[in-house]
Amino acid sequence: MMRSLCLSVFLSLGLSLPLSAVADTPIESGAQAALNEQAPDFVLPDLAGKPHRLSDYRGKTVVLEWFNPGCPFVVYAYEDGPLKGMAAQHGEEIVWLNINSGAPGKQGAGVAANQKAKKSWNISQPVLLDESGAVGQAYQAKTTPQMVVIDAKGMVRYNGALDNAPRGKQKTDSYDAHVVNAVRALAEGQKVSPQSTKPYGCSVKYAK
Amino acid sequence: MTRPTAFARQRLAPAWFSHGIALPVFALFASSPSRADVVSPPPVQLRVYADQAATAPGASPHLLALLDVPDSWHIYWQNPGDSGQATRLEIHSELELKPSSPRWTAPEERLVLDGGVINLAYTHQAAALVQLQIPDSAQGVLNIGVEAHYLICREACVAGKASATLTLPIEERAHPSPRAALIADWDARMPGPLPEGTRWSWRGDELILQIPAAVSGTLFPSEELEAVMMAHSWREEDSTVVLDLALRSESPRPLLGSVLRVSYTDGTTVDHILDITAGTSP
Repeated sequence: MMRSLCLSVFLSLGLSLPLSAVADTPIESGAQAALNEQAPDFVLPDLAGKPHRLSDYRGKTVVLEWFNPGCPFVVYAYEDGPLKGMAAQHGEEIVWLNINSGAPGKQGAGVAANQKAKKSWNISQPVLLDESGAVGQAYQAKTTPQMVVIDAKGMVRYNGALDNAPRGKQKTDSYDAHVVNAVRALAEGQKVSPQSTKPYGCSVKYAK
Repeated sequence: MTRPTAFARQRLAPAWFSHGIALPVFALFASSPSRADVVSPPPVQLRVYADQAATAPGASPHLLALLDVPDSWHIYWQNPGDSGQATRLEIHSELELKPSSPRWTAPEERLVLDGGVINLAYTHQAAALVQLQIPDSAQGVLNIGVEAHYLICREACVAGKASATLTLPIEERAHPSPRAALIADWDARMPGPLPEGTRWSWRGDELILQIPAAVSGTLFPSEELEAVMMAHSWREEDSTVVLDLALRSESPRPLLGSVLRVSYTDGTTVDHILDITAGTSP
């Protein structure tokens, strides 16, 4: 309770947080993301320990990508599939944050495994660690990759699959790049459609 | 509609059977962070049998693919659930065999993973049946290659492929194989029709199914059904079990591929196909 209060005070004053506080209470307890509602704010450390607070990026479209470098779906998406260079291609108007909600000791978790993947896949965006899984749970992240798109006003506009082709196998006749379409729609002032799809991939490796 | 025979029924392995073996192994694996990224599951074993020892031009042999899943790991049903990927079969031959869509056994378990992620999985064995069509012009020898593509998971997930081959002579007439009985047995274990006496009705967009002489049921929804299903519940009523299934109103097209697993008062458990078209009998 006291720790949550301290976090709130820090956040409201716009102060940078010590990493220990970030790791212990990354998001308000009980917060749940919902479509067309304000995205729950969170603070998570990147691989260098620098805290990233979602609300600091207000004014820009934010893409949250649930990430696990050991997951075959993620490996495919970065080595042969659509995530290769996707974040960088969208430029500075889009903030792209990878989030690993894997618990310590689980597949793809930890600083070393993520640093290695970031380097070998040329990932320019931050990879944030959510070892408690609190942020992943709040955003109903079930798979890697799972994507959430938040508009410049901080509203959740998309939550679901990267596209309709798990590991390159299209589920329908046409290819639907759900996340790219959502980002484009927001840039053009259009409504995002669909706003929700069933995510695919490995399960997020949450703590017990 | 007829109720499956006793031969067709199966007693399903209880959930503790797999986990009793799995837990000690898993505990060792999960407790060591340094090993977590080094994942090499034992391979899934694929065996393929035909119901014909020799086939013939114009014949329609059945192929059975049996996938044995290593202890404590799982692979996925056609709707994998919240995560995972459906197991897929590929059949290769120098002849155009026009294989039917595989019929898969129902998932063995509904797994609930850390964080509440739900998977519909095979934890011991998956089986698929495919019917082939031998071209009228076929002669000589038929070589068939079968590949099973799967995602295998325990704590971590790994994509894998298992392969098997089968060779059948092509003769003037087809001859049954010694495996024909095994294939008939697996055919009977595939999800079948709802039992005789099943009553159904629609209340708006809600399907109400009443299954006689049953004590409980489990629904394994196809991805199609899952996308339009708002809620479902089971209740007992006058020696029947009743499934209430509420659908979104914008779902007029057929919703195929779901399975109902029903436990009956005589102690048997049977898997049934539940294909739904709004307003009509399943």
